[in-house]
Amino acid sequence: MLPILLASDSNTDPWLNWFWYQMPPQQLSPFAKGVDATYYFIYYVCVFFFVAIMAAMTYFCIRYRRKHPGEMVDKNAPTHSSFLEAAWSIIPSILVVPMFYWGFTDFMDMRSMPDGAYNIGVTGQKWNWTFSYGNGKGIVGGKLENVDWHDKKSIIRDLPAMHVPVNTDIVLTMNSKDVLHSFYIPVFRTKQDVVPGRYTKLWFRADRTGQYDIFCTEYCGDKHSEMLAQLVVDTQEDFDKFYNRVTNLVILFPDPVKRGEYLFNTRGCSQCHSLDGSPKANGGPSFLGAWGTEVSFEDGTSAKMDENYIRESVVNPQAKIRKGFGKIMSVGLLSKDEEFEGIIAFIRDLNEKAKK
Amino acid sequence: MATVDVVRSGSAGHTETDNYLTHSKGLLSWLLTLDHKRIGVMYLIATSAAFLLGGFFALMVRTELWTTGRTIMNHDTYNQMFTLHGAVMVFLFIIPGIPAALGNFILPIMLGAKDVAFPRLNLASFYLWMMGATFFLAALSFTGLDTGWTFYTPYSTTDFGTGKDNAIISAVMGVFILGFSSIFTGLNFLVTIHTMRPPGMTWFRMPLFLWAIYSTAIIQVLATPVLAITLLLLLVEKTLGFGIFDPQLGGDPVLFQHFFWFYSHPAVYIMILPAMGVISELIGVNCRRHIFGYRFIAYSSVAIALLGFLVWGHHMFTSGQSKLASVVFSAITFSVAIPSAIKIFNWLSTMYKGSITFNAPFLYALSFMFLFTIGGLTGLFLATLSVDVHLHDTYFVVAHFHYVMVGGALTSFLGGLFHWWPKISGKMYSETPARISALLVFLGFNLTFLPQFVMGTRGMPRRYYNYLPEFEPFHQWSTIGAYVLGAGALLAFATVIHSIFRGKPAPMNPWGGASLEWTCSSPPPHNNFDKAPSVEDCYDYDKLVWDEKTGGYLMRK
Ligand code: HEC
Ligand SMILES: [Cu+2]
Ligand SMILES: [Cu+2]
Repeated sequence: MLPILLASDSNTDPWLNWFWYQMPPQQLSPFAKGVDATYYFIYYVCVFFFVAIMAAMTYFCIRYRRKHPGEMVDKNAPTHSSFLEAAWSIIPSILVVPMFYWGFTDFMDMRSMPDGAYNIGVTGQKWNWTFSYGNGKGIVGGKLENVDWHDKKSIIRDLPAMHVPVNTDIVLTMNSKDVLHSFYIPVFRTKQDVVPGRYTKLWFRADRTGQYDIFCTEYCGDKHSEMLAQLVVDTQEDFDKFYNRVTNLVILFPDPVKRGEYLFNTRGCSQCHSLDGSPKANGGPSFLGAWGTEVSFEDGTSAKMDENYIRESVVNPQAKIRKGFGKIMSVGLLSKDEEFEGIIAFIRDLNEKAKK
Repeated sequence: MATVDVVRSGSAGHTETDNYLTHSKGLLSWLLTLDHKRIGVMYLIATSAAFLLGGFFALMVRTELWTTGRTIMNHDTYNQMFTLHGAVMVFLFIIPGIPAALGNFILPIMLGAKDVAFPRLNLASFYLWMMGATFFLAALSFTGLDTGWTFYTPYSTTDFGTGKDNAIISAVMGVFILGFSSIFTGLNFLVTIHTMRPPGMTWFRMPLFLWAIYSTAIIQVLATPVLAITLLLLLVEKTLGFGIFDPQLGGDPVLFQHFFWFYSHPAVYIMILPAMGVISELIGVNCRRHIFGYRFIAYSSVAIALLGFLVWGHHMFTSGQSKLASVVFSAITFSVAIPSAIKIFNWLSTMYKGSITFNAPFLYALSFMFLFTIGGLTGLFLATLSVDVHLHDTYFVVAHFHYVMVGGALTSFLGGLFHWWPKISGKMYSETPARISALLVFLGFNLTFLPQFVMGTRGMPRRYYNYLPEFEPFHQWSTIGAYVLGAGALLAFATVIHSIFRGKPAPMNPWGGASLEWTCSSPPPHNNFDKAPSVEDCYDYDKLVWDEKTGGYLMRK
């Protein structure tokens, strides 16, 4: 059966629906309304001129059709008219001014990042998006595999979902690991190319909860068309739940050693502590092979490197200062039980690794 | 009628049997010819072949898009298909189609000249084109290039081990050779128009087709060298490892887009200006009415050519270029809209109080008016910054530029082909199938691309192999339309070819044109004109008289 040409999933104004160039039904950001208003202004100007030109053309075709090949035309018909020509240079010139102006102001709005916005990192890589929350504390990714393209539910299920809180300014800081991509959210009427070697930004504020499509719109190779994602606008409570889930280290790294390694690399420990046995200049002792050894302090005492010592060294670094090192390690780098569990497991595991 | 004193034979006063087709025989007499008419015909055959090839790729693309998910080919093949489609259509058909094929044939005759200023350069440009085309096609197919016709870096320069590494260089090299051929043609036309106009043909007595070709030639000569610079930079980056476009070497991938569009946007006007020139002729002749606002149309061609150099950044509003740059490019882009609008209104006024005949060329011209108006108007959405951010790289853009390129360049190419075919071949094509072809092209075209505006507005990105299921009905209409359009185009070519064997001999002036090409016989003699004809107003149709016997028009003495 032939598809229905005017098939539409929208339930908006049937009059608008009749028109072909209808914007997506939902508008979700402060600038979506502005963009749509400008869009419809241009649209009606275009419809007016198109209908007028076509009507005149049709009328002339009928009225002045040639009845005999020898027919001659009225010699006095004008061949130019300064008045008309001025009119149709000036009137269109005037009409494009508001188009330009509204387009310009809304564009500046889209491209000027608001202060104090919530920041989410976006990384594009052939062919999926990853979203990072809380400066990398939580990472969300996903990949399409074996989907049924005729079943939207199956597509959505596998896609990475970018959760954002409702009624909050969000700024995306975007970067690509390989080629150009472009991050496009139709309901916000906004998109921005994602460029390797450069950070580009995009902002929006969702004023309604719901789930919407995100596309890659810059051609990036084979599976460009599968580089999709979902935008999930949550209430603040739901978003907090989501945030806690994606940043929960136990869920992200069930293995304590992996968790410890992650903490070692992301909480700054690696700036002062090495893993190769030699202490860093202006830093602290190396962790390699340190587990279980007897360490001596500035005040002449000594202690065994065990769970309690590690915990104390991080909670209260100034309590015992290792011989030959300074009082430079700051307080409060780790605080949760699962974090200590991780770092202890990591340091202990280094001994195992060293043996091998 | 018999009382009117008329000129019965071509102004050249040659015998009817001697014409450029029969002047000399043998394959070599064609391959080594310096006759602009024969070169024009060879270009016509070559560009038409390119069109059919590009059309085949288009149908492959549309067929694959019949359903979301796989229809007939895999991701990679699909990506190569749309790359081939775009690249072949743009570089091998639309850019050379009207200027090199129709222009080469008609321009010197319209000027009352024997040939172009540099006939050898002209032949060289043809062979350069053939070389470029072969090289380009080979590059595209052997490397399996799948970057789209825009070749954006760094996708096109990095390949992650698939062997497509240097594809971009050979492709740009191909484009550059083609560009060189285009420079030769442009230069030739510029000099010809400057130096070889006959007595009496002042600048403002030139047919508008010549103004259009003249403006096009300016762009060809000025814009094409940028391709050479781009190629050079790509080579330097590849061989010496300087970071220019590749971010891994510290280059800037967006820079490539500037270079690309600095050539390719003016190239858009290389595609559309000659089309506008053809339409000016078709409308004048078939409305039998002095073209309205001649000077405005002529000036607007030049204005478009010059402004066309200043708007390339409108392709990059979302690329990360500076806000200020985007704003300036948007403003200048709106200013290009005005000269195009002027042309439409002038053509429309030419129809007022005319005597309109609906032969195939005029049907194509009408269809041009319809399609180009939509193409031009939808450009306003894309020139508007905020709206473009939404529509950029969606099907809206695809639909927009097809309305301009295909609706503009293809319909005028076919219209011009039918219009000048009696002159080119000396045969009349049969009107009915030609008209049906115009109708099919028109209907098929709209069916293909109107649904794409809807999809684009609703967020369907371009260059997608799979798509969300809600877009499927629109894609299916579009695919049906593409087949109708394809059938129309095939019918047009079939009609033309059929006439070579079965067509009635063409009279000197079948349509009642008043420009010089209608004063020499059909087909024209080898030398076009023995002595330079004197020229009056090329849009004054009063001097023509209908002659029942030959089925053409004769000039009053
Ligand atoms: C600014 C540099 C600095 C940073 C950052 C730092 N440390 Fe330290 N750390 C030191 C110094 C210096 C010492 C030795 C002096 C001391 O005991 O306070 C030390 C000692 C320690 C000790 C005792 C080791 C031993 O051999 O006695 C542990 C355990 C430790 N750090 C863990 C951590 C962890 C876990 C982190 C990351 C969350 C971290 N440190 C981050 C400078 C740093
Ligand atoms: Cu992509
Ligand atoms: Cu452009």
